[in-house]
Amino acid sequence: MRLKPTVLIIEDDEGFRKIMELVLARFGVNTKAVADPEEFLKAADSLNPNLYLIDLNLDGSSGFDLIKTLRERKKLTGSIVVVSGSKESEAISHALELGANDYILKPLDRVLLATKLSQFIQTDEIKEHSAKQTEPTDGRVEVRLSFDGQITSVDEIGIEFTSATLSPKGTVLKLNSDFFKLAGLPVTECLVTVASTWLVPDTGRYGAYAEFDGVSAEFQQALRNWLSRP
Amino acid sequence: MASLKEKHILIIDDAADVRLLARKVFETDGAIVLDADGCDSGLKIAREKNPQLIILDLEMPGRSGFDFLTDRKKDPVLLEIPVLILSGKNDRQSISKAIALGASDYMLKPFRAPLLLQKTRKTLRLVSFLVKKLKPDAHIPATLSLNGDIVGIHEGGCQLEASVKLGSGDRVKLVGRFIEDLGLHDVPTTVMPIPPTYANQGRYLNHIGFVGMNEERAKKVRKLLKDVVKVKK
Repeated sequence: MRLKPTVLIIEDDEGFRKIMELVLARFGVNTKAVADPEEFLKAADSLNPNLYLIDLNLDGSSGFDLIKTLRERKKLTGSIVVVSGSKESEAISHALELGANDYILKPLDRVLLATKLSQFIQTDEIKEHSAKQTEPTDGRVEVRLSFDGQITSVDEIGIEFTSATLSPKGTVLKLNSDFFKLAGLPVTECLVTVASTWLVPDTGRYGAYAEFDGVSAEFQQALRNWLSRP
Repeated sequence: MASLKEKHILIIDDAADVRLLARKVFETDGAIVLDADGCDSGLKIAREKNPQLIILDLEMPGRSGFDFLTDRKKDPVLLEIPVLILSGKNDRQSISKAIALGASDYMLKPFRAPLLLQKTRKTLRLVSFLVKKLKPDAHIPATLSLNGDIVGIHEGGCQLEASVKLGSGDRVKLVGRFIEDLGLHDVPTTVMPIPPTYANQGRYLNHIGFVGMNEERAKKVRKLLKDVVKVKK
């Protein structure tokens, strides 16, 4: 039998807190809902829940502080979802930067709540109530996907970069970076092919070496000039 | 820069003009060039002459360059000789397959002589290149992009098949007509803490979440999804 997942909620609106407790109980989840940040952190330590639902607009204490504190306590590994009435994209970005995994806005209906919960915790009831994945008419639809990395080293053939994403050997990527401008290169983007990849110790990030693809002689000369400068 | 003087290089390609051109490039730099016009003759010469590098075409009549790489894997002597692919096939699957079968590097036709020499020297580890290691506080931000396929979607997120394995919690951006049609182009997206699974042919199934959804927006997406996609059975 699967163990019930535990969700810890902080919400100072009593009405909304009660509704959340009720709905989550129906979703087959162990729930603890509190209004006080100190009580929340104590409960986090004792329960080590699978998921935290945090209201950003708490009296006297900011939900941002709680996200920061939870992420500093390394043994607490649960996902964090912010539930807020604030639609400001800056608040969303800040919460995600501090370590929140997702952000949902009030009001929210039962299907949306179940759908979002299903991405973090699983119960039969959540599965039953959440929206079903639908598939594009032709089975798949192409999109352009981009992710962030950090260039750590450059040589005449390619670059070394780190990223949270694993790019296996042979992957062809388009590289956009201020690096081109910084090095005085005649392009703003170029294709690179990943030649090797590794796990960077103690960071959970991946390192990769990728070679420049189809670059001009002018590019190579400008790159050599930049590399030979101290 | 170090030359290829007296290095033995075997070129395996069915196209006589490519063999001739590559021979000229290498001989000008002092290499001793051998050539073969197919997989089997290439294997024979490689076993007899034990060259220091093999330049291999992938598409050849009869047995292909992939067959050569497969046979090479079973031969401990040949396995010591690095192989540089020189091919007109520029699809990701061919590159991945050749690398997976043990090729050291890949170069596309038509080739430019300086790049062929540079890659050859690099494969033979004859030169040390100019390198700039950046200090941790001087790492340069970069955005890396590639194509992927949405294979499932709902108001909370989507399943994305791509050749990369996205890291949980990473911020990603999806761009495309489909995303625009659903009004999701300005919705931030993040990688959900559901481990990506291997799909097939070097691709991973990643789970992406739409961030900042509310009831109104979710209902709109639900309605639009009914219009543009079919429900998964």
